[in-house]
Amino acid sequence: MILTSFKTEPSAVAMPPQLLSADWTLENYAEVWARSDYPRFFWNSVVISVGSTLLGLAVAVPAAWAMAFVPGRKTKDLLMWMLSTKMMPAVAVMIPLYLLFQRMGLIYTNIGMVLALMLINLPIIIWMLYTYFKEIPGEILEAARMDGAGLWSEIAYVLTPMALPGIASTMLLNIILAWNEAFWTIVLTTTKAAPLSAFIASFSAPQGLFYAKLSAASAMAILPILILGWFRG
Amino acid sequence: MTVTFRALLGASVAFTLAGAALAETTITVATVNNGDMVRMQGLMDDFNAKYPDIKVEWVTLEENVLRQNVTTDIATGGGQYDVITIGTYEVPIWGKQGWLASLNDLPADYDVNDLLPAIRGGLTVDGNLYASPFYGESSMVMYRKDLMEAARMTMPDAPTWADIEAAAKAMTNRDAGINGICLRGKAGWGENMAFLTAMSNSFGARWFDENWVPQFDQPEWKATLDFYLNLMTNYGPPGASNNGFNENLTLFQQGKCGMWIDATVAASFVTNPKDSTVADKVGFALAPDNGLGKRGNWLWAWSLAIPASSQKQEAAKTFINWATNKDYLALVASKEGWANVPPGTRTSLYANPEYAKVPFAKMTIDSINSADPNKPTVKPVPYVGVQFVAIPEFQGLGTSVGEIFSAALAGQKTADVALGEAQSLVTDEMKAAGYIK
Repeated sequence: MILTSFKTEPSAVAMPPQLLSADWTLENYAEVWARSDYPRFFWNSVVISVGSTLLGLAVAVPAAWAMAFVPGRKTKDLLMWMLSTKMMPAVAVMIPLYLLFQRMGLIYTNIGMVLALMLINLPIIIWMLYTYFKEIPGEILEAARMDGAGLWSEIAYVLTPMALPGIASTMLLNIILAWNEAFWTIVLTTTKAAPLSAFIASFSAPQGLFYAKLSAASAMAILPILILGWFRG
Repeated sequence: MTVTFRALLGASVAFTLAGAALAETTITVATVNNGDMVRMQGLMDDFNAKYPDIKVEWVTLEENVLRQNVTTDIATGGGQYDVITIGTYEVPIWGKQGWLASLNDLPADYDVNDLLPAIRGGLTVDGNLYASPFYGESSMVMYRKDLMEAARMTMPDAPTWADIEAAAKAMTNRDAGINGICLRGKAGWGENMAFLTAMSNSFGARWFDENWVPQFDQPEWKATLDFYLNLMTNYGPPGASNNGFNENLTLFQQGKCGMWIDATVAASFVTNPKDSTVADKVGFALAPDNGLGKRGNWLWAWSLAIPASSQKQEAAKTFINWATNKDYLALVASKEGWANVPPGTRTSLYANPEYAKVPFAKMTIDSINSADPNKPTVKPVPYVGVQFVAIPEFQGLGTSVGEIFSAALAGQKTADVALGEAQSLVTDEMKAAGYIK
C-alpha cells in the first residue's frame, strides 16, 4: 500500500506489478491533501479514539475490580454475556442505535461517537482489565484495608499502580480499535465528526482508477496510529 | 433624535443579524468519488464568488456506502445532507415515497426544457422533477481500431451481436495476451446485472411479464446467457467473473482487450494519453442489437437532489442550479476543455459545434437517445428502467441473480442451472413481496 501510494495511477494497476520500473510520484499525497480537510479528520479521530478509551477505562476499572475481587454467583455469566455482545453482527443493531442517537441529539457529534465506541469496546476493556486484576494477589488489597485504605484509596493507590502495565496495554489496544473502527463511524457520522475512516472512504470509487490516491489516503490515515504503536513498543 | 438613534441602532442590529444569518448558511453535499464530481469540487471558487453567503461542505463516499448512508438518513428524517447525489434507480422510488423535494421551481435560466428527454423522463415522477442531472451516461462499444485493421475488419457504427462475436474472434490473440472482448462479470445489481439486463433487452428478454411473473425460464433469457457465456469463455479474459468496471478499464488501458462494452463515461478514460496506452487507437460504436429493434445499452444519470428533510432547501436549490446549469458546462469547458464537460444531460451541449469535435460526443448522445426507460425491451413490461427494475426489491434481487450468473461464468454451473435458480429465487421473493400469489 505504501509503495502504491507513491506510484502514478497507471503504474499502480500495472500487471505484473511494477517495482523498479514504476513511475514514482508525490502527486497522490499532494492531491489527497488538497482535496480534503485532513487536519479535521485527524482531530476527530484523536478525540473519538482517546475520548472513548478514557471514558471506557473510567467505567471499566471499577467494574473489573468488582468482578475480580468481590465476585458474585453470576459474575462469570455476566462476563460471558458481555463477550457475547461482541459476537453479534453490528448491522443487526444499526437502525435501533441510529434512531436512538438521532432522538437523543447525539448523531453526527463527537460526543455521540465517543459514547458509541466506548460502549462497543467496553466488553474488551473489562475483560482485559479483569484478567490483569485477577493476577494481583487479594492479600495485598487486604493489607491495604488493614492499614486503613478505603475503597477509592485501594483502587487509586494500590490496585491501579500495580496494574499499570495492563491498563496501558488495554488503553493502547482500545485506541487502535477505535481509530480503525469504520462501520459505526461511517454509519453515525460522515460530516462534522467524521474521522479518518470516513476520509479513506471518500477516495474509494467504483468507476475510475483512484488506487494510488486511495493508497495515499490510507497511508495518511494509518501513519499516526502506526507511530503511536512504535512509540509504545 | 432619540427615536432616530433607536431606529438606526435597530436597523443596524437587524442588518447585522441578517448578514450573520446569511453568512451562516452552510449546506452539506453528499457525493460519489468520480472524475466529474472531483472536478466540480475544484471549481468551487466560481460558486463561492457568486454566492458568498452559502458555504458548501462536501461528503464524498463510495457509491454503495453513500447509497446506504443517504437512505438511512432520509428514511429517518436525519437531515444530515442538504444535497445528495442520486442515481436514476432511486429517483422514481424516493420521489414516490415523498423523500425528495420537488425541483419544479428552479430559476428560468435553469432551462428545464433543455434537458435531454430520456434523462429528464427518468428523473420525473407524476410530472414533478425530483433531481437535476449532473451527468448522464449510456453504454457503447469501445474497440481497438488497430487490431480491427490488422484483422482486416471494419466495425459498423451500429453492430449486431454477430458482428461483435466475429470481431472478438478475430482480435483474440492469447499468445500476445489480447482478449477479444472484456465484459462485466463481477456480481452485483450495478455490475454484471446492469450489463446483462441491458443485453437481454436486445435479445427480447425481460425480468417480468405484465403481471410481475419472472421470465428467466423463457427462451430469450436462455439465448442471452448462452451467448454471453460462450463469448466470454472463448474470447474473454481469465477470471472474468471478478471483473467490474475498474478491472476492465485497467485491462483495456493496458492494451489487453480488443473490445469493451461499458459506460460511455469510460470513453474519456480510455482516450486519455496520461493513463491509457491505447489512447489514440480507440474507436466507438453503438451497443449491439439482435435485429429486434432494441439495443443492449443502458441509461443512467448521476443527479443532484434535495432530501425533503433538509432545512436549507433554498440554498440547496441555488447550488443545484449552479452545478447543473448550462453556465457550468461552459465554465468546465473554459477551465478544462470540452472533453471534460459532464456529458449526457443537455440538448444544447450536443448542438455546440465545439463539443461536436470531441470524438465520443456523437456516439454518447446516440446511445442515450436509443434507450427508453419506459419501454426498455421488445415485449411490454410493468416496470421502468433499462438496466434495472425501479422497485425497492431490485437491489437485493439483482445482486442475488448476479451472483448466480457470475458463478455460471466462473464455470461453477451451467446456463440452464443458473436460469433455473434465478427463476426460483425471483419467484419466491416476488411472492414474499406481494407482487404475485
